[in-house]
Amino acid sequence: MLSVYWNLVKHDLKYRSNKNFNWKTFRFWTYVYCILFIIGVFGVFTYGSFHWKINLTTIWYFLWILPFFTFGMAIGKLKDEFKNGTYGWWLTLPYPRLTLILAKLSACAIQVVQIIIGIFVLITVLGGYISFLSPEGSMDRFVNFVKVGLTWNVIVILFVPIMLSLGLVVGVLVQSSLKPFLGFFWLLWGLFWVFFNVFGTKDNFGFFQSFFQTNPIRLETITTILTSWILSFLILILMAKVLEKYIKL
Amino acid sequence: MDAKQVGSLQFMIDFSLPLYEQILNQIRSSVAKGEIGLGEKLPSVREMAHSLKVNPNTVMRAYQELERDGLTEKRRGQGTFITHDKDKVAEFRDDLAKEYILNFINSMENLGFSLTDIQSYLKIIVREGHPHDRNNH
Amino acid sequence: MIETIIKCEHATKKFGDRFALNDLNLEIPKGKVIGILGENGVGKSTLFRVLVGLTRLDQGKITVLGEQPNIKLNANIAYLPDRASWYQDQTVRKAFEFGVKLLPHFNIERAKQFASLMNLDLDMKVSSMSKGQESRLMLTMCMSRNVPLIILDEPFSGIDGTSREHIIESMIDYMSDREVTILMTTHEIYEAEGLLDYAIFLDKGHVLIADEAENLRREHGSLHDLSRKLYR
Repeated sequence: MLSVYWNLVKHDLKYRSNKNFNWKTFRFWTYVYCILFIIGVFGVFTYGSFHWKINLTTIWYFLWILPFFTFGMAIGKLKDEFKNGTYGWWLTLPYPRLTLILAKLSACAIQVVQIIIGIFVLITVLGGYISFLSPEGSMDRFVNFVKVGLTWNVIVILFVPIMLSLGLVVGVLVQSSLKPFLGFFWLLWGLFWVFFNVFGTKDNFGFFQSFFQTNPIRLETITTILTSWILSFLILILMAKVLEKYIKL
Repeated sequence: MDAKQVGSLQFMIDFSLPLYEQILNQIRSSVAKGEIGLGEKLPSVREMAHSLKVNPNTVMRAYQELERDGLTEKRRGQGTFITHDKDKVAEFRDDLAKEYILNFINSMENLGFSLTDIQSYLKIIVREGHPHDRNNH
Repeated sequence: MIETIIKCEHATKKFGDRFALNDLNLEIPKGKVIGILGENGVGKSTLFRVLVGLTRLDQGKITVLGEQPNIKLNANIAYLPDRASWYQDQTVRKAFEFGVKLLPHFNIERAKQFASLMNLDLDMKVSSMSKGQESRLMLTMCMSRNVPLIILDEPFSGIDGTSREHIIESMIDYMSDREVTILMTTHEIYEAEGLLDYAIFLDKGHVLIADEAENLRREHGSLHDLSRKLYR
């Protein structure tokens, strides 16, 4: 069973472009834009470091998009099977639906973590570049920058499971006869973010921001993360059931 | 409907009639006509089904019927062969002749001809020569 | 006595107000090639989806190979979904690897034979295939499994005449080698005529006629003609 799971993961690790989308013709331009973007970012910061005082750690705020990216990626991974017309093969594989979606989310998690590490490396390089460029640049400042970044990255990674599970909810409900519940999900989703960001627990910061403002290794953080893992697993089981009983083709 | 050759046998399959009967009858008449010789091997069910594009179950049924007729015999691990028994084939030819004649008589009777009428028609035809012979001259 | 492989009792499935299966009662014999025939929307694909556990019945009961449709049972069923595609990033070779790893009873040697018969190059990528080539690959994935039940939803759609003949011949060879039940829908009855030994004509979710193909030929002529009479 474990080998089946791994084979499924390897199968799901492939990036699958749309049937009518020819990735080859776009590959060249994607690389060009990526390089231009990196040059641009370095350019702006080079200019900026000579003219303004840059608070390095704020660069890490960029990490905020990663949970949303993870969420979207899970939706996309699921959507692929339906959009590309391969769901009939996928859902008739003789393995429990839980194995199928667990493999899909695992593949997603591997890809997300790769991306997070890639971004971490890139921002670290950028931070190093700036701190040695700016007049008050020092080794201490850079080390502190990396430390903060590393902590925040790990926190983001620890929240990957719940974000993937929530993405799964959308990906599955869209294809099921329970689609009307999707509205309910978005409502909860919105309230959830408002609630935790507006009503902070400490120093007027939102709940999640508080993770990033103080030493993260606290009971509060740990319980939140553990709860999120348990919740992700429950969601996974629930969605496996939905995929088994309520799928609409 | 086109002719299909399977080994030394020729078939004409019409999909608007039962297939099993066609295969059976066409092999029977090939044997009767001597197109396939005594002791000769019949194509395998697989080969026959493949060439005729007919379900193997259908071919199998025809082969079983041939075996029941005593026209063929199965040899373990070798396949199906036409019987070596000359008398058996002769007997079968007789049966076939009788069957055709009876069918013919039946049709004639349905048209209102009596057995004596039929006899006199046959005499005329014999005197004038067989229609096939006439065409050849 | 004829063994049955699939049994439907009062099978009912509704989509909105429309019945896809309407109190369907059916016994499908084992070891035959069965054609499920009828116009679009008579419930053929729905029936197949229920058999492989993609869809559930609203009412009634279906048993396949003696069990209610379930995920594990699919190890013994090769199913070709309708209007499906194959994974675009794979080559034929990769698809066969997928088969070996994830599809129980997948025989790679037969897959390779079938592929060469179907004119599929092992290094051909699915994304660069024509619709017909992709259909042939998907059929290869199904026909290369040693399973007691093969369910093919429109196996000939998008496939040219020569390949169709090859497919029919391969199915005949497959049937000659082992006991298997093949259940298929097709609009190309004419081509599959000799292949079918049992035919089930559906209309509006229930059975119009279900009988041995030979009996139907004796009474009504070819299945193709019968179908034209029934759905005029």
